[in-house]
Amino acid sequence: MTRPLEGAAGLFAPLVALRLLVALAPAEPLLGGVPLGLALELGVVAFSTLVLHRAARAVFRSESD
Amino acid sequence: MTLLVVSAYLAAVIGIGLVARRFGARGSAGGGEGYFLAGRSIGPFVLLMTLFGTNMTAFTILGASGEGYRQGMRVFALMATNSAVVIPMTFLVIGVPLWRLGKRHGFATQAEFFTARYGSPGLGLLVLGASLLWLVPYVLIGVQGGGAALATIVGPDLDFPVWVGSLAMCLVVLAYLVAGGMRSTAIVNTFQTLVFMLVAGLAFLVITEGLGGFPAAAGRLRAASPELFELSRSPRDWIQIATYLFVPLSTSCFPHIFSHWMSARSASAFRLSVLAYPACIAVVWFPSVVLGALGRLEAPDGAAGPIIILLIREHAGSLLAGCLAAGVFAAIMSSLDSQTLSVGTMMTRDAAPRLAFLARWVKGREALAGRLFVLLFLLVVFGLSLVSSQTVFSLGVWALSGFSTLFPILFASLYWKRATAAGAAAGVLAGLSVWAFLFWSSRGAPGWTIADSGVEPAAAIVLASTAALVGVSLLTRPPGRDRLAGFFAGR
Repeated sequence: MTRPLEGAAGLFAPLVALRLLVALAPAEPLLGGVPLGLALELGVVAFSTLVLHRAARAVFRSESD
Repeated sequence: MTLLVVSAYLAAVIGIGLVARRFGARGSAGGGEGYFLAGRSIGPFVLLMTLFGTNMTAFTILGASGEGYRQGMRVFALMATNSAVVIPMTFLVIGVPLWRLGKRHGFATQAEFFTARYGSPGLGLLVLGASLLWLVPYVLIGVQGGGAALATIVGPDLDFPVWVGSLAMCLVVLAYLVAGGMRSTAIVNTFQTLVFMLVAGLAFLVITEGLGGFPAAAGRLRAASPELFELSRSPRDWIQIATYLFVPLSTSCFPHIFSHWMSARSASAFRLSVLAYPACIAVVWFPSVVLGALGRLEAPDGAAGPIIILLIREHAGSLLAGCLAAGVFAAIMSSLDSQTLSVGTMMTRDAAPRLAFLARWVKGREALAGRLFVLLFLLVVFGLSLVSSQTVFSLGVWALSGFSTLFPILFASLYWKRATAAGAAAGVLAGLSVWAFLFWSSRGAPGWTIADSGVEPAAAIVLASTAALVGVSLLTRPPGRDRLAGFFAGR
């Protein structure tokens, strides 16, 4: 496995685990009309951006070495 | 009014495509690379918009709301979140290294990459054949869907023929593709992507306002249909969400996504696409799915036609209906142009050189040949859209799973030196066989899962392809150092 992939894989696995957990979330309560489960799904999307930011940093740093 | 808005939109698209061509003629390389890849000059924002726009289809606006109406909020978990998690990661771990190799070796198509990586023209041909098998019906359902959507939005009173909308789309795409190739495609896609993002947001605001505000409407829906708010109502639902993670892997295997990757100006141009892609997905999918679910308030016993169109007719005027039609056209054409251009690229670079009577003529005339193949392909697709059967439609729906066959081979090409040509061919054939078997077993039904267990076909296809790739690679002679040198140097 090459270094760029290691950088991304280390971050991707927890993201997938979180994604699978959130799929079990209940609907209640509603948060401003949005069910809890859907709000958490939006949270996963936001978290994936954070993970991608770190993965991108690792990949581009590694590729410029 | 609806037709007026759509006509104005199509005219704007042609205008932008032609202006982009003039812009490109000054600033980028000519010839084949200029036409097919915009001279590898696409910057971060346009790259994001083209990658996102290319992956959005009519389904994102019409189909997602329809599924939201039937299944509720879980559609967002199934399709949107999974895509937001997987697709940008593939841009990073597949797209960036592929771009570097493409720049170094001059690749414009997947077949060129596979041929060079494995030293096997036969493998390149196999990938070309499989790609065309899935791409043609996939394009076809877009062309048919656009015509059907326009006829529905215009309304049954006018008895608007489906083929007129399909023809209009094909002609518009043809105009700017022939004029400016990838340069025009990228700029037009940027405009189209912004249009359907805007339409999705606008439709959400207007319709929820018409329903008495989003929190109130959601409260009423919870009282009437609480099941629409749950993500996983059974273990089967959860299994489907989990195995659906395999489906977006196919995105990295689309030939048109490969072309867009190759058109990037630099590796760092990918960074914005990687970071902003999840937000773009949320911006389009959230309104589509939620509006679909809220449609149950208006039509609790079933809707005649797409639910989003019913909601717009009920709560907005013909101006917004026209904008919606433009948004649907934007979503379809932003895929159709990229897919058509990638077929033109594949025919010119992969197929024509293998045909003696074409090879000599194409040499030195790649841009012209690409334009002719684009014209020919659109003629064939439009012709087929007039006569195609339910089987072709089903093939198009299943194409997404089919492309996931190529993911293990693509991944191994970049990260596993031990992968061999025979292993890669075995992987493609195994994935293709499983895909064909599952397609036959399901009779092409959309949304089908293996033995109704919730397991997505793409999961089985990827696993079969991986097993064959690894098994056969380990049983065959490893590739020589010379073969790997241009692909793993410094990695």
